[in-house]
Amino acid sequence: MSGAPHAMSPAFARRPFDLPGRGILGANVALVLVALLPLGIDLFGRGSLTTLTPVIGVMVLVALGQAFVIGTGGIDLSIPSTVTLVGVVILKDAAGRNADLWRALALCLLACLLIGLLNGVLVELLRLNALVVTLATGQLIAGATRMYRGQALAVTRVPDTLSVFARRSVGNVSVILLIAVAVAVAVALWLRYHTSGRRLAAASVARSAAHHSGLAATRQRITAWVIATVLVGLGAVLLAGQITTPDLTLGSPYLLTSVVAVVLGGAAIAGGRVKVAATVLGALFIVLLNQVFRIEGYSSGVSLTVQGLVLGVGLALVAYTKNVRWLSLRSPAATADSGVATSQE
Amino acid sequence: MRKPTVALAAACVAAACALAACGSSQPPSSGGSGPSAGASATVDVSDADVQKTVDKAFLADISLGSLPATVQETFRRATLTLSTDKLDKAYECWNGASCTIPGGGNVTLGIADGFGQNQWRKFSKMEIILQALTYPQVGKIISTDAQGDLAAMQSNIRSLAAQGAKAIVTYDDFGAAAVPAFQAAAAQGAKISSYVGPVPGAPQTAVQTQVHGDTCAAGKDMATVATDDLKLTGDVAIFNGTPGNPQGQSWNKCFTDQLAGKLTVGTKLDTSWTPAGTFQAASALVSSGKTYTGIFYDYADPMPQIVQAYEKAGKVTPALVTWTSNNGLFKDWETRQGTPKAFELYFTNGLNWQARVSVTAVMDLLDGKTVPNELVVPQPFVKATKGIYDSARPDDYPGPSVLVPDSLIDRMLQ
Repeated sequence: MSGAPHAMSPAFARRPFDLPGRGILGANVALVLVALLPLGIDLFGRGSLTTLTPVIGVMVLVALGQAFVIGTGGIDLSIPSTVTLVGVVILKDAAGRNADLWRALALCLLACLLIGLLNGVLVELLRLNALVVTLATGQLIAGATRMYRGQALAVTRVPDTLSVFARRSVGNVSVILLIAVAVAVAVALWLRYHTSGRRLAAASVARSAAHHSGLAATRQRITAWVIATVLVGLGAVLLAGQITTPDLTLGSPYLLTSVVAVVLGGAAIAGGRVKVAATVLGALFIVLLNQVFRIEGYSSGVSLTVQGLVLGVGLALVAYTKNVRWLSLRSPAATADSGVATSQE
Repeated sequence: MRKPTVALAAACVAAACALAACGSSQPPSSGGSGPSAGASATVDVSDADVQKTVDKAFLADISLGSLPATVQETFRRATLTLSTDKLDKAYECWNGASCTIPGGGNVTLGIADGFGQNQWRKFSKMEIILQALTYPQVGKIISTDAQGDLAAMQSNIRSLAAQGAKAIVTYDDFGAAAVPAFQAAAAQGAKISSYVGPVPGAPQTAVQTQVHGDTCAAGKDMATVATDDLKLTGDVAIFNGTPGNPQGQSWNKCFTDQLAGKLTVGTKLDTSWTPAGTFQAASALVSSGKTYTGIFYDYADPMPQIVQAYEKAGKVTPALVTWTSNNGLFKDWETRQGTPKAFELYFTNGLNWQARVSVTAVMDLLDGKTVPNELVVPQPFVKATKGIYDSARPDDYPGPSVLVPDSLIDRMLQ
């Protein structure tokens, strides 16, 4: 009888700690080191932390929303329109009055639920192509936003309660990032440990298998769309508060970047488990990369080109390195169990 | 407040116009008895009143006589007090995509806006409508908004011509890409004029008149403000809109050349002219660890984001010099005066009134008058002074140079 771990039955083998998103974590570490050492950028100074962390926080929330959709094998191109709509609703409905902020937030939540439901039903129930559907709903939302906003607004500043809150920092870290991290942790725990989360994850990974297991896969996948849009809406509310005067360009930066952040986190475009930690790291990487380019004086054209390259390379790496194992870091037992471990990163 | 550079700029513009024969020797037509195309109404206003309008538009001492004839005529008409009925009609036209003017003539005026969604564009649209209502020969106004889509812009221009618009004014966000559509509209007999944003390389057969400031002169003026007025030293930063936009390239080069080693342009950052882009550009400045004594930009609307980024980083905002005006920026500037967070601010007028010049230019062209291909107007920089912030107006209000009557502004702002 041997007590060696590798001699134990796999059923009893204890899975070692599995560092999430190792590839993107390494990329982040490398980027930070390059920024700090050869380039001499003080990424941890007050100037960087106070101005970068709100941007990272919003990107994390929007990317998490996109991750839920990509997890179902879809893609959400209506995110920029949703972000803009939320900003306009807060502007117009609250009209700068703190007392009306809660009503505006409730309206935003309702709008996000409806958008998520509409996208989800069209894609999952009617089985329409996600790309085409969200392109169309994005246009629909953009048009509705402009009609709702009207010609000109008398108040173009969000209520002070929201802007003061969104601009608050703890230490030098923006409250937006702290909220984003808290949401990410809650989502990760829910997906991993709660039955409803595991059902949703299962339905996202393998629709047919989930359906045959009696999991009401379509309903679960529609739920993923709704959750995604609510997460995007939360990011948009905080972004509107941070910008203070949101306009019709509010959502523009989040079309490509949200997809890049998710792909950098190792997500398969064809669908799969939502990798929360890796998505957070992907969002961090894309914001940091843009910041380094800006500080070094490269134009946004260069930055966009690199984002496109990163997206392409990231997709290729995900496609061709699925079976690459981190053998040197793991015990044989863990290696034997690596199929499960990898999928739960 | 008048800048020393203003007189020079005005003189240069006047000289340039003289060389280009833009100062038409023809007196304004004394017709106007009937609302037919080609008849211009006489405008009965005193030069003193017109000068007041000019002062309001430029926010600086620019003499009426130093301006090109078409621009003078523009301000004469802008000085007219419109009746309540006409203001009601203006509001109706502004709210809709098309309107008919009772008793108007047979000229249809088309507005082709590349992106008519922000407050600046909305006010520019009203300036166009108000100016058009001073012409009895205008019987219909059709406005289009391409919402940032080139294909829609091209289609809108062709559609305006097809609907019989013989006068088209445009803010062209797409540069030369829209020229073929302009050419097609011009071939159908439309007179076309662009305002504020030049259309580089557009032949006169496509765009008959371009109304804009001298971008290079504006760059030089910004450099003069930096060195002579603000007496900056060290590094300054340039903020641009979309990467490689021709307007930015022009003033950036002239700005840098004019500095002549007295100051260094430490960095140039793209912002896409959005609040988020501007915040991130400002974030890059404060994160860089370098000190920038001034930030130079060609759009005032997103500049409050710079103030926010600097203050979040615990730094004092550097001197800001910008084209156009923004009430939110004025608020930030005014509320910080007398505090350790105070910063210097120089800006130009809102430029919206240039849209009125385009209307007068196309109406003059229809009237058979000679209008130069380029109507270059002064763009003086002025220093912010107490009282510039208007607490009754929203943050994105384009400032005190707007020539729309207050009563109408109150109706426009819901």
